Amino acid sequence: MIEFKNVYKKYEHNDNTAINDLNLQIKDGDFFVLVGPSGSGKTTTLKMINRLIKQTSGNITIDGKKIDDFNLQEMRLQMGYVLQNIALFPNMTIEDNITIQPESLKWSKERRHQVAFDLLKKVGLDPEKYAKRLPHELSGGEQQRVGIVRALASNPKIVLMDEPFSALDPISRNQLQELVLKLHQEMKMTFIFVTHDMNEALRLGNTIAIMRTGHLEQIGSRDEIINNPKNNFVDGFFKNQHNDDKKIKLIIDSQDCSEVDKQAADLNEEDNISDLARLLKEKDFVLVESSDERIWKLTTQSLLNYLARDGE
Amino acid sequence: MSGIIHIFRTQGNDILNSVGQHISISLVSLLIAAVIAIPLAIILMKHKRAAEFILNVTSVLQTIPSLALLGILIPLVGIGTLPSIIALVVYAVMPIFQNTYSGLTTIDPDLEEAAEAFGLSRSKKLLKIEIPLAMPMIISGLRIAMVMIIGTATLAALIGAGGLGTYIILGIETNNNSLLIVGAVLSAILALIFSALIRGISKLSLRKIGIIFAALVVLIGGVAGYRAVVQPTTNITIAGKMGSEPEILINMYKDLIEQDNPHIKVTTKPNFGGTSFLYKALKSGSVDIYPEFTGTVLESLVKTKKSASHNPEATYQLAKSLLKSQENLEYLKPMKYENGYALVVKKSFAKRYNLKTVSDLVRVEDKINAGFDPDFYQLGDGYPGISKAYNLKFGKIQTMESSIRYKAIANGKINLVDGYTTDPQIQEYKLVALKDDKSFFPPYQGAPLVSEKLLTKYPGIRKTLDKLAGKISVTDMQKMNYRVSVKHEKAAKVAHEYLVEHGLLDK
Repeated sequence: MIEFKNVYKKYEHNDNTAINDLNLQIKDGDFFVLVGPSGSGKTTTLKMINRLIKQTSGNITIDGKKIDDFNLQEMRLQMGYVLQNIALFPNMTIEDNITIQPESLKWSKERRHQVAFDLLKKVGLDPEKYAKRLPHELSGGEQQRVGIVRALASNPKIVLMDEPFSALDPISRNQLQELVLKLHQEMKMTFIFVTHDMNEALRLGNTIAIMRTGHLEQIGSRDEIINNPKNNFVDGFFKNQHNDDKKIKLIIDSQDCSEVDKQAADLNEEDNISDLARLLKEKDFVLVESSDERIWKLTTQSLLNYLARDGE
Repeated sequence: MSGIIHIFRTQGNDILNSVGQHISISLVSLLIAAVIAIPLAIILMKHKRAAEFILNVTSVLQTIPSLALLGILIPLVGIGTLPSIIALVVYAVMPIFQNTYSGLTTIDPDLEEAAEAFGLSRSKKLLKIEIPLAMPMIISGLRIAMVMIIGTATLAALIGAGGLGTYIILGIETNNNSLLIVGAVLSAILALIFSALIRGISKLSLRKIGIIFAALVVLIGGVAGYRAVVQPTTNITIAGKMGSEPEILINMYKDLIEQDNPHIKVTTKPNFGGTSFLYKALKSGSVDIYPEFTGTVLESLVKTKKSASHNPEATYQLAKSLLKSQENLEYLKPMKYENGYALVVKKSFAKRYNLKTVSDLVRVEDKINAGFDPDFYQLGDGYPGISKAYNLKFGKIQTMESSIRYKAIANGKINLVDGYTTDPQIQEYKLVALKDDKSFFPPYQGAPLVSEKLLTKYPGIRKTLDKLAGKISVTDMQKMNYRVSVKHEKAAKVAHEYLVEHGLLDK
């Protein structure tokens, strides 16, 4: 169990208190999501766990032992870490990237190789094909799969993920969200996941902690948060985000688009309109599959028409 | 082109030797600079202020002109390879340090954070991530340094360390383009080869680079050790300025000293750049003897208010006593020839108008079309002075670079030039120096300049070197210079033959 007790973080260069009297507990094996707007202190909280950021006062303990009392390197070798910008080491092959912690833990070559191959298979990347490649030869989604594998390779008890999917396209993000849920179920580690996306938080988290300006607004299970938002901020944050994340279905239902022949779709009608908008920035039209397996062609005009009507 | 081929045919071995010297000086300097700069950058990568400070220091060192740096180093560490390597290292540290430092400090902070968060040790982080990621920058720093070193190493020739600079500097000095091209092209080729080699090495893994590095260190250390063991200890070092004449003279000194003192080992260091280098080296004790002109001593080596006398003997005596009193150096007896300014005409021209002395020129002054070095044309010791002393006024005068005036007179563009009495071109182009019958030009007699210390240790050397006193006429010197600098014969051979021919040497 990880426990924060009266934790404060102040930065010298400004007077703002980044973390203000934070108290929380993270149970072993939990999928714990820290969610909040930017500047809420969620990433700071995450990085205090592996001491990338040191708290100004208060105690953080793992299984009752203060994290400051651990040998820093040994402690970090027992934690996985996934970064927002993926940060695979560009000079190393995929396999070497994955086994960087096991290598520091002095695992045998065979064992390292085995782990890398097993995990690559688990995340849907053919090891024979990918193990010897360099990171730049992979797509963003594939790279972050490797990023996740790298965090799991040493079989750590705790895996920290800092907005790992925010830089990905919606399809990859969806797939990876499913993947981490699957991995969490299978591997029984404690996942601590930071996001600013309430939907992502609700989709992934067993326990969700909503933060604002350095303190906890509410902490609880998914149902508690949805059903009993503690205050206007939580409710508003939840709703706001929800607004942004209306489903594409709404546009298809409004008939502001044409049906096309059956072919591979870019998005599903259950995806968010914001995802559609993002794709439309780069393409003239986007193909969306509806639940009855029909394919619809959506253009920027469809989106604008919908938004105009929605605003009325 | 034929000149270049001729040089390779006659001096092939020497050239190969110079290439070897050039490579070893450059390589040793690069390795030392890398061993200093790369670890320093690694240590300072987390200390921005200190790194900035070092960067500034190395930049300041960079701005010291290389000749000045060599001049500073001679009194401290003497002559030859050591000061050359020190100077080159000083120049090479900055590009290597700067590139390594910026390579290490511009690594994506996300990658640094990842390495940190994974709990990698400092050394693992450095070896697995930081150095490989900074490698392209480090390599480009090494390449810049290497090219710079190979270019600057040509200056090593000026202080007796040899290398390809010997040919470049000699080529410039003697207006021998073939020599110049041989030296310059070979050092350019070396720079290209090494640049490519370094690029090749950069593609290898860190471990292989380490092995190559270790192998080089062992190899160079071995060669240096072997040389130290094999090289006979030197008792006396004789150096000479740039050009054939000093090289011939120092070989004569060597032959004479070794004949009289079979147990003494003499080393010669020809083609030293610049009077001040040699003078400093003599005073600091890294050179024991070098031939110097009486006129030069009074002009630039000792402090005196007296203007140079036009009497050779008086000039020598003054130089000798001032050197003794001011610097405690011994100036032994001068040779016969004077290597001073002279007015030079074609032999055919002299014959037609029956010219033997400068005074004879008055008869034909209207027919003269002179080409003068700009200095000679302006200085009091030059044309203005001689024009007054002999009441001469030439019909036409043009100034031109000293290096091309001989060609101009050979081509008949002009019919009189200023020159030095022992210039080999006088023989090469069938010219003749007119006698300065009024002794207008200040006397430039050559004589051995010797440290007091050497004479105390080996008092016999004075007598040995005095054998040359009053020997070697202007014509002798001209002929010998011609053989060495135009015909590319070995100075040692030419010197030896002269000594044998004149009964100064037994064999």
